[in-house]
Amino acid sequence: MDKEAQFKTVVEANQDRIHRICCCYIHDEGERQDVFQNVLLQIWKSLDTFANRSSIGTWIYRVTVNVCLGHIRIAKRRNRLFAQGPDATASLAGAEMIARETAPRLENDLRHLYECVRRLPDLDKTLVSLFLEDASSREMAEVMGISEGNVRVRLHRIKQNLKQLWETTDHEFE
Amino acid sequence: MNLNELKHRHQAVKAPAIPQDDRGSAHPLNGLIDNLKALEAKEAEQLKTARPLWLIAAAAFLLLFVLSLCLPSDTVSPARQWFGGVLAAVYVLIAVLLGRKLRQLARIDYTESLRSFLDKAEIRHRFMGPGATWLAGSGLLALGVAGGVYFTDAILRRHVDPEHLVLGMVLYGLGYLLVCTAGIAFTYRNWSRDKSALLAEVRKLKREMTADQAVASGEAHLPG
Repeated sequence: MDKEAQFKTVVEANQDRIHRICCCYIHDEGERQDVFQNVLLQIWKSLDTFANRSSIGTWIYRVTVNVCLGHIRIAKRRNRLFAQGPDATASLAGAEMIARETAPRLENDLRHLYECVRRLPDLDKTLVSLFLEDASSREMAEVMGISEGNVRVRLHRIKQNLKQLWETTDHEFE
Repeated sequence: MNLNELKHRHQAVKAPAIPQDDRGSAHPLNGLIDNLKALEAKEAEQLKTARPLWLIAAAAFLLLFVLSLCLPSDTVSPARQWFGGVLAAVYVLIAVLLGRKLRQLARIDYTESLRSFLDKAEIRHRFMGPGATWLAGSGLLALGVAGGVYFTDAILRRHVDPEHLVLGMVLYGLGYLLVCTAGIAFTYRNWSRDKSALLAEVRKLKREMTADQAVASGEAHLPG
């Protein structure tokens, strides 16, 4: 199979998954689309080097997670540079109003879920985004480069944090 | 909150349609592939065009140095030849290092595990690694010494009283040190503005990754 055909197969099979993982990291729809395209670019560039050492699914997870984390690192720095006015302390409810306007397609509960996930620390975000995709502990460990035991411990704690966040922010989504 | 139920609903979320080109391609991804190819070609082109200036300058310095060696010794003094040689060598070194850095930036591998990706990001974002510190230090020292020899030969011996020769050399040394310190401080300020926050973020993530390693060994105590 040539590179173009392989790329088409990979993208067609995984674009929804890539988009969903991006949803766990990036709030703004336009920005999310940029990151989505960057993931596709990295897949295109790295397709030649994909050796069947891991499954294509794990490989896609790795690329997506690394691109998303790279993006939010840069975004955080950019926000630090510009966050000097009163907007920097805008309430979460305000952010949600914007979310409602920019992402009308998503139902309330899912928007609530993504907003809670985005408030988690970066590594926790990564684990939850993979958990939501039904990735196994082994796949998560492979993507993160940590042990499966570590994945299970973290995931247990993160789920509790997520539930707590869900309850404390519930009123914002009613 | 029913996380499992939300998980199922999450998995039903679809990606927005990838915009098609207006050429009516047979496959919806053809337009995207064309754009990706163009972008890849553009990046390769940028990488190519970033280097020639340094390479041309390095080649020009080398050529001047070789030419100066061919001139009779009463035209160009050995001190000047030394200075020219060191200058050319430092320039070649800068060209090589710059090329290496550009290649490193162009080849960020997003397919690695997060831990290994962060390890490499830490190396990319740090101010100066041990290798770069040694190379820069050696280059600056060589340039300083060769410049000193040239300065003494071309200026001090001709225009300064012999009894003030040492003072002149000390002043040269201090001046050179000041220029180097200012250069390093300026570079550090730029790095601090552009990269230090990224590096801190990478290190924070790495710390978070290792923080739970010890807890993981007590996994058997977890409920469920």
